[in-house]
Amino acid sequence: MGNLLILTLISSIWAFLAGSACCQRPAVVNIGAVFTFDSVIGRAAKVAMEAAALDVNADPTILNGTKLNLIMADTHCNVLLGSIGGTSLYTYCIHNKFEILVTF
Amino acid sequence: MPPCAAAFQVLEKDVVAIVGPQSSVVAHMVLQIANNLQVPLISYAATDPTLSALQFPFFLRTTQSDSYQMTAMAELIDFYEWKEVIMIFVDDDYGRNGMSTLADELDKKMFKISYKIPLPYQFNLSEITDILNKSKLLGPRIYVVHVNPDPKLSIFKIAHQLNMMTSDYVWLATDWLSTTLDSILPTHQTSLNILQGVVVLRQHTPESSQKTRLWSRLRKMLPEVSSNSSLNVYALSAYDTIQLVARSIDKFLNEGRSITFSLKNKFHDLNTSKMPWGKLKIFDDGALLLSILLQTNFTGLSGQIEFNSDRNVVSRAYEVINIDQMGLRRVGYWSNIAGFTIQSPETLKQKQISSTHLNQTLGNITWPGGKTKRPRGWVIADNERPLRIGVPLRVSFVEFITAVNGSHENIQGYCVDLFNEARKLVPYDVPYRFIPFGNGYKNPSYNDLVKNVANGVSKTLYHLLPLMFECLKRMNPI
Repeated sequence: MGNLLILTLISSIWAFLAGSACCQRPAVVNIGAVFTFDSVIGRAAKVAMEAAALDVNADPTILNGTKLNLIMADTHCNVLLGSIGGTSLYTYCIHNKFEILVTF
Repeated sequence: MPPCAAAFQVLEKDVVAIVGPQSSVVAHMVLQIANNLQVPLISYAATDPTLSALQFPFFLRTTQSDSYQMTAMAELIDFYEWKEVIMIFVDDDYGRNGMSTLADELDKKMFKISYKIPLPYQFNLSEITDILNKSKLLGPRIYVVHVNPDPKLSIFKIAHQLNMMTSDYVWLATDWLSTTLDSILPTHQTSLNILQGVVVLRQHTPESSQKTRLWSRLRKMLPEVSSNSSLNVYALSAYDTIQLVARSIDKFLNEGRSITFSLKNKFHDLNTSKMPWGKLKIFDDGALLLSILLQTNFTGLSGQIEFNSDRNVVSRAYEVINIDQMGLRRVGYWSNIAGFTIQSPETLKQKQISSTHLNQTLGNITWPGGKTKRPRGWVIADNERPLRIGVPLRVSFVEFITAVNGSHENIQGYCVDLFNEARKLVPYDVPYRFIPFGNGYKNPSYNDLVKNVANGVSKTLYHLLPLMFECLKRMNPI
């Protein structure tokens, strides 16, 4: 009876540890990409990065069990002013010596 | 949205790494944030050499830094034995730092950028016309152009209109032009007409079946709207960068680490009512991920992905491309180890041919105007700026040199006859103008005349100086 109890204890500890080891890898990992979408380099780079993210997620030898989430943000290098309106998050940005108030 | 806003947008989403930015100017802005939040920033296209500074420990580069490109450019100028160049560059971090890197590299060889012509970030055509017109009077005819990719090819269009794409001129461009042409051709073949004779560098990427497959796959993925645009070498660097980051995160997780973020207290001290600082979190193991990134080593599509101590990807080769009637023609390669070679670095390695800087070669280049002979690269004078020759108005020994009837336009004498005969021996035209010196009543002081030459009031042709001195010696027999 005591042996059975110890065995149950050991197997439940083992199951707990095994379970937590597998859960240490996150389901999703985020990486950001910051560049100007509509530019000579940006147009080519955007599709290349999308293809690369697809390849990584399809490849079982890299980040198995974890999805790579590519978050892209457009810097609009050719546009000096950002748009006004939207959410309540504000930021100041100094670009080319102009002070720009942007909300996004 | 402007660059900082874009950076904040991704950082809010708890990213462990940022790929980009592609603009060196944006990189300088965004790196301050990345440093504070300990998020590695890996750029596939920002080539400004100063981004490798110790100030930016979280910045990595999977493309070649312009420090290598400017070394290649300086060696190209040396290869053709030119000594002075005019550089046109965009006046931002990318252009300015590229220019000063080239100046340093040329300085090592005792050459120089004689004239530095900055362009504003958004230049208009009349500004370029004015700048190029003024540059014609400067003397050197070797132009190095280092600006941002420009599908309109404004600088060359204006240069073509001003007859500067003709013989005697040399146009060298950094890889902004090859990136632009790779992206707009083949639909804009007519653009090549104005680029005849230009020599341009391009980052070399090795040929492989994976690269060919990716090119055709990416072409199908390009949006319909921009079907006229095509791909360039930075697509490969961007692809490799995602692979690099994914492999590094994989290794990070395999070491049993977990991805956690924490709020940094000092951001809370700032007035957070209008700033997003309070919402940004620090990636706890950013430094560890950075060290894993720096130790990664694999063969990517753009080349070997391995970092040196500057946090730049290890040095690769550049292709030297000549634009002629046939289109873009590769005339050779440049690498840090071997200098200029006709065979690709992969071929050299495969055949185990060792090539050094002593036996560099490049294919034949068709220069502007269709010539194959290396242009001289400078003009001593032209019709807009003739050579100014100081002439003493003597009252004795006037057979040597005098102004006939006191007319300053009619200078005659033995020295003038010698000068004209010497001009016939020089294989190019030298427009000139005599500038009289003296009041015509007494012999002028030669010391003062020489001072004028030193001050730039008048000039004397170098190889005519002995003739001049011979004249002076005969005039004053002592």
